[in-house]
Amino acid sequence: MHTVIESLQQFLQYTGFANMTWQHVVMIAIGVAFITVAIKKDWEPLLLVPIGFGMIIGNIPFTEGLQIGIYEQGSVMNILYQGVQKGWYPPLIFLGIGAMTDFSSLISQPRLLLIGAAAQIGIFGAYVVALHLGFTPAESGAIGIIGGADGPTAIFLSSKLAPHLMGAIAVSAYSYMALVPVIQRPIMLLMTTKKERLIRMKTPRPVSQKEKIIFPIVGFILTALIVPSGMPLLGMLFFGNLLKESGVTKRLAETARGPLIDVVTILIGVTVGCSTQADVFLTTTSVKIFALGLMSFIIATICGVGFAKIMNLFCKEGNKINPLIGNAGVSAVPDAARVSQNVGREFDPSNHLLMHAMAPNVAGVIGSAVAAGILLSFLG
Amino acid sequence: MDTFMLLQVSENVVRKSAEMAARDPHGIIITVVSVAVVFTALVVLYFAYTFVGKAVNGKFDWKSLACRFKRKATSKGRPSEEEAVAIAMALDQELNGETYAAIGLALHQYLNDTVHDNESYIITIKRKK
Repeated sequence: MHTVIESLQQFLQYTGFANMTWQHVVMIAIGVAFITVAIKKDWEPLLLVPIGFGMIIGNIPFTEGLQIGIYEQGSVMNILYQGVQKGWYPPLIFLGIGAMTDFSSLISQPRLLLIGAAAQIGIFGAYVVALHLGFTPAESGAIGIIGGADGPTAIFLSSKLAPHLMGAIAVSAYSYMALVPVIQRPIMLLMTTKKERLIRMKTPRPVSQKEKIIFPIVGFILTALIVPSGMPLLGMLFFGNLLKESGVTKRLAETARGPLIDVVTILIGVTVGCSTQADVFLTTTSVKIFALGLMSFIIATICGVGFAKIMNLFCKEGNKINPLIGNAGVSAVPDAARVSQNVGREFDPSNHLLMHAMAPNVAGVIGSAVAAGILLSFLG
Repeated sequence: MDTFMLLQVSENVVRKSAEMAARDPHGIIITVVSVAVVFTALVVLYFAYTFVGKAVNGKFDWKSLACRFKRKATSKGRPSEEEAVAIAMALDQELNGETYAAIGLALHQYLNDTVHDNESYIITIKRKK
């Protein structure tokens, strides 16, 4: 009888209940909140559901040594986490993004590329502030990239520059991507006049198949030659797009934008969520990262909208840009473009900005990959 | 211990980060350079796609580009090989003794600096009295 009680006591010591701390409870609550927001509000459900559930998995307390934790070498979760840590999930995600993105609007209006470049200033604004808050240059670079509003890029760069901050950076990047409509709308309204919001842009010209095929090849060669360190992301993005546009690799394109990206999204979401173990994640540093990420996002939006307004000073009448598409310079595809469309239609229901906003939006993807490459070459 | 091993930053990153902290403590240099590079990359793409778009749709004026190159070549005072051959053939057909003498005299004057006065290139206007 005594042995049974002793065994029971020993077992109870191993249970999550016995090892639970208030930090674990907080993290599990955040995970549940992510899942709730994703299901109720439909905010980035493909990312928030896996991340939210990953947070719950990662914060069930256990006794170390059982080789089940994400940070325990050789555990299943640890092996899956290698893709995040070594940075090979993000390029695979980029392959899928390339295979599902239509770059026609950008090809037909290349001037809108510049809005995508302007929005990247948010990354470097946050970098400067992070430095002054006491982060090292490598940590600041990894934090700043949140402003690119690109989850895979943020994971890729933080895995190289600041792996100890990756959980907070990834969760922050994905959270703000989900909150794009909430964060960007007031800034867009604040920075534009009613007259500007009503600007109708010229219909983009049709783009030939030949142009669509040339686009990824020329785009990759030029950007990779300028920033070779961005090659893994840029290479996969443009390669995915070539698979889509070549017309002869339909099966590969379908796999890249279908099953492959789905599998990698599940793995990246769950493992990033898992990596937010309370003892590693719940620190004042994480709070600072969230604040800096928000700031970076706000600066990016301001710069995108502001730059569109500046470009209008040089555009002839009839060729003006509606500054409401400036917010789409951040690379949250296609959510940021959707925000442009919705805000534009609030003021003129027949003015459809989605097609135009997709140009700076996809330029933002290229821009943030280039910015990540630059930071990596300076600090990595 | 495993956690710390997994979350460790590589030595290279630590070294480069320390160098950057010493060289650019406020992050201004890296910011300016990075923003400039991002803009350069996307401006290069802008020109490339504008050119490709025009070339593919037959809207690019190849003739004016060819003329511009031609003008450039002649403005340097060096005609192309084809042009040189054409001039030589034309001269060969049309030249006679008088022409050779005129060219010879012109060259002689030019080389001896007796062909023109040096101009001051200053225009003056004097009111008529």
